[in-house]
Amino acid sequence: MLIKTKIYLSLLSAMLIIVILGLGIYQTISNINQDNSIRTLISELALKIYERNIVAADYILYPSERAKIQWQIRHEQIGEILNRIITQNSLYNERLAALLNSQDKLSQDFLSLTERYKLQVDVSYDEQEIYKVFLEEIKKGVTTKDWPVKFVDFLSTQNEQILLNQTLLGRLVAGILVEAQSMASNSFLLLGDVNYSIQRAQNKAYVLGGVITVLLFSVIGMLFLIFYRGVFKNILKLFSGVNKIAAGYYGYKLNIKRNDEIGKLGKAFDDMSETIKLERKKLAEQSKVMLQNHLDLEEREAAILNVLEDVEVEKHKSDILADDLQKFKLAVKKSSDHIVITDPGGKIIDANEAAERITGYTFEQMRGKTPALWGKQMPKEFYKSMWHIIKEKKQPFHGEITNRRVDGQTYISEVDIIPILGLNKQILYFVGIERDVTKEKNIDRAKTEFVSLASHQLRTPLTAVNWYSEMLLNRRSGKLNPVQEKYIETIYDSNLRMINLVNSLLNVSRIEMGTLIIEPERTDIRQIVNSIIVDLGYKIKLKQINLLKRYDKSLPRAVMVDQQIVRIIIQNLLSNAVKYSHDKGNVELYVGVKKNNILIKVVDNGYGITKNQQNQIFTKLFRADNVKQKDTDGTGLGLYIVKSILDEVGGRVWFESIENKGSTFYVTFPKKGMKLKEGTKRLEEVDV
Amino acid sequence: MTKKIIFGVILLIVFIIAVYWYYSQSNMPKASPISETIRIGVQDNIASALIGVAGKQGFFTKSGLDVQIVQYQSGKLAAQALFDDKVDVALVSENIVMNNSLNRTNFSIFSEAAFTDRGSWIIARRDHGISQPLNLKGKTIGTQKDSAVHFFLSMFLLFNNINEDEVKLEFYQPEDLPKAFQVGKIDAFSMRDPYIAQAIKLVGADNVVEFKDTRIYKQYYNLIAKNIYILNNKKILEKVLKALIEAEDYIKKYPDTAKSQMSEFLGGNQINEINNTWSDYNFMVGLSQAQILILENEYRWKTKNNVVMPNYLDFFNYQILDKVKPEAITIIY
Repeated sequence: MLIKTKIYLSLLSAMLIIVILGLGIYQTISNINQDNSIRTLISELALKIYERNIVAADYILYPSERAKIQWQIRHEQIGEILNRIITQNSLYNERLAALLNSQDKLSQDFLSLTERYKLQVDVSYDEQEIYKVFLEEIKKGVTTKDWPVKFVDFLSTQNEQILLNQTLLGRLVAGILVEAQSMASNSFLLLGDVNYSIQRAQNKAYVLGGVITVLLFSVIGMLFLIFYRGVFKNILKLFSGVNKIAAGYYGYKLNIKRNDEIGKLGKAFDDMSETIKLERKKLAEQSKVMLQNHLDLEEREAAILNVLEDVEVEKHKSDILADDLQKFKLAVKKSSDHIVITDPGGKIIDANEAAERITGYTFEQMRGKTPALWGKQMPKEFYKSMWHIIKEKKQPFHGEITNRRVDGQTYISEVDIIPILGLNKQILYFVGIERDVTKEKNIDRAKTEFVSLASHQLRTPLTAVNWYSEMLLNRRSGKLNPVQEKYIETIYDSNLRMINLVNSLLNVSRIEMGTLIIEPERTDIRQIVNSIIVDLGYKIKLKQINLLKRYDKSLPRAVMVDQQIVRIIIQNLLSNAVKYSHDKGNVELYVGVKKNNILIKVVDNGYGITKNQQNQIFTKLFRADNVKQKDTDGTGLGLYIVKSILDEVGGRVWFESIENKGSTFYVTFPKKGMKLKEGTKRLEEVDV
Repeated sequence: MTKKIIFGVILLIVFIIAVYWYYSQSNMPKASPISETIRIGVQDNIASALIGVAGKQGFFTKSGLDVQIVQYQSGKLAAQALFDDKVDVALVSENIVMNNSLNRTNFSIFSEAAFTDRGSWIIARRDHGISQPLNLKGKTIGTQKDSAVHFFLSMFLLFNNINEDEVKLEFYQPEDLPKAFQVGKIDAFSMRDPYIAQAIKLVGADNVVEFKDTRIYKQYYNLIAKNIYILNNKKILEKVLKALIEAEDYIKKYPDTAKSQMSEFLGGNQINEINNTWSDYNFMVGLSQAQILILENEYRWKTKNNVVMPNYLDFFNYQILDKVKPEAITIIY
């Protein structure tokens, strides 16, 4: 049965009990109220009876009109009260009948009493009157014989009447007093009856009230049991279940097996618990995903923050850059070198003051035009080559260029044109930096010419000394003593060095002055190598150098090259390798082909070149400090000459070197050969 | 929630204060505007305490009455003043009522104001051989003729089996009795205070004997007015009675203050006499059945049963008191 039903039934029972017993109590209370109202009337009745009795005694003692009136007033009031009592209830009939009886009797007796009293007064009055008449007659002397007898008879009759009256009065008074007393007693007894009835009704009401209370307590007890067993206990269970779920025991079941609301609630709870368990699982999975998303977001956030930081940094950098740019702009503007910026088509978009000063053109004259404004002094091939390098190959161009100022004066510039590329390697603009080296060139030319002249002039005496020294050493002029021989050897050696220096200087001047002749012919590079090795044989043997030469199979038998140039190149590299190797060191010479170039590689495990001087190795007269200490010989011109030659013939030279480990020099020149170059002089041979 | 509780408490306090104020206002006596005047003639003795205290406490004023209280040396004079229209209401003993009922019916008692069963007693001279009531036989006893003290004397003699023929009665004015007692013209006299006290002073307390009996005579002091006045001034008389009821309560609560006020009312320093006699009197507003019997007894005594006694119910007007304090009426009507 449903709890609701049980409760309704219990409440209904309680209501029925309350209604039934309540009706009983109501009836009882009504009776009590009625009895109370009757009691009030009876109390009033008793009081009035008492007052009437007082007045009756008063009247009996002194039958005054006042006492009579008061007695009648109270008597009427008592009659009214009796009627009201009789009307209001049908109980106490016996007592009420007795009271009514007494009331009637008293009415009659009191009336008789008043009549008797009146009679007594009348009799007395008559007596007195007759007595007066008698006295008058006596005074008058009019009396008859029989008057006294008549008077005595009259008196006697009167006295008899009086006596009789008095007897009757006495009886009446006694009767009245008895009835009055009886009424008083009956009224008090009636009051007692009513009190008893009220008491009984009250007791009944108490009993009914007690029964109601007991029954209500029973109902309450039953309701309590219903609640406790049906509701409270299960609510505790439910509460425990809730706590379990709160503690994480998802899927916890109450298992309440009832067919009422609590059972339904329990089942609903179990279903809910199961649902929570499933949902929790889903939630956990979703949480994982969300967590991952969250982590991703965090990473993105971090990335964004980093980006923002970078942006900030970049901004800072930008600020710095802007600042630097400003400085740079100023530096560019104020630079002594001619700086021009053009668009990818070569049209000038910016130029500094030096450009204006050197070219003689104002920026306004330059803007929108190409540097050809002051150019066009070089061969077409030069410009073609230059454009090819900067535009096609998108590489910086370096060279010397002859330009013409606005006043027509030509000048020589050392030019660097740098293509500025975008992110997609597209050309954004070109930056052309020129330095007027006319003066330096002139000085250089002068120096070179001087050197050439001096060298040329020196060659003759040096050659003579060399010849004569050889003659002496060859004992063509007689035998020398050891000391003399030693001195002549020294002179011979020194002279040779001088000749080599002079030849080197001549080679340098010829290269720099552009008078070098390049005459390519079919050459077997192997032969040149072999020849050089023979020349170097003494030094190789002296230092016990382990020389290895290798030729690639693909090396052509003949290459169109200037033999002298190739010789000088290989000679310089090989003699340096031997010179700058330790005793018993290893030197390897490789000649091969790499792509479209002849590759010559010379490897040694000698002194190596210090890192901080490697960028000067191809400069004129440079000798690294570590080799200068070990070998004082050396002009410092060999590698300069090699590089200069290769620049002339379209080749390259580079190296790899580690101090105290050795060096590897690479030389390439086009496999198809060198181009013929007209000039005035060939390179001089330099003894190794 | 806290705010609601605080608000509710404040409301409750305000409500309680409002209720208290309202009830205090309603309980405070409201002074009605004075619009009506009434003259009350009283005896200059303690019996007029209700009127005196009401006047002193302002209860008449509070009822909206302008009461002029006129003091007379005796109730007889007060009654005369009433019938002469010098006063509207008079405070008189039932003896005065009875005496006036012999020849007039145009007045009524509308309330009692006091009663005492110790108002009258007899003082006698020891040195004249009187030590007990029976010794009064053959003696000369003074009293005021046809007065309450005369009635008391008759009842005392009757109760002590002394025929009036066995004593010699002489009648004096009350103020003459002490002197007559002193000089020996009378051996005893029946009177009330202050005359008995005066006599004791004159003769000496050791030389006198006092005979008191509370069983034989209860003297009532009544407020009487002409019937025509009562008919036309019921509201005024109701207000008078309300003021006297307040005085009745006041006397019960503050007797000492009431005594002081009566001393002032009567003039002179009479506090000692008042203190001596205060407890002999009952100051109450009512209409008693017993007074009717006393009136009738006095009437019979006065007339020797030779005259048809009036219906003394007709000399009581209970309509006024019935409106004000009905429970104080014990007269059967």
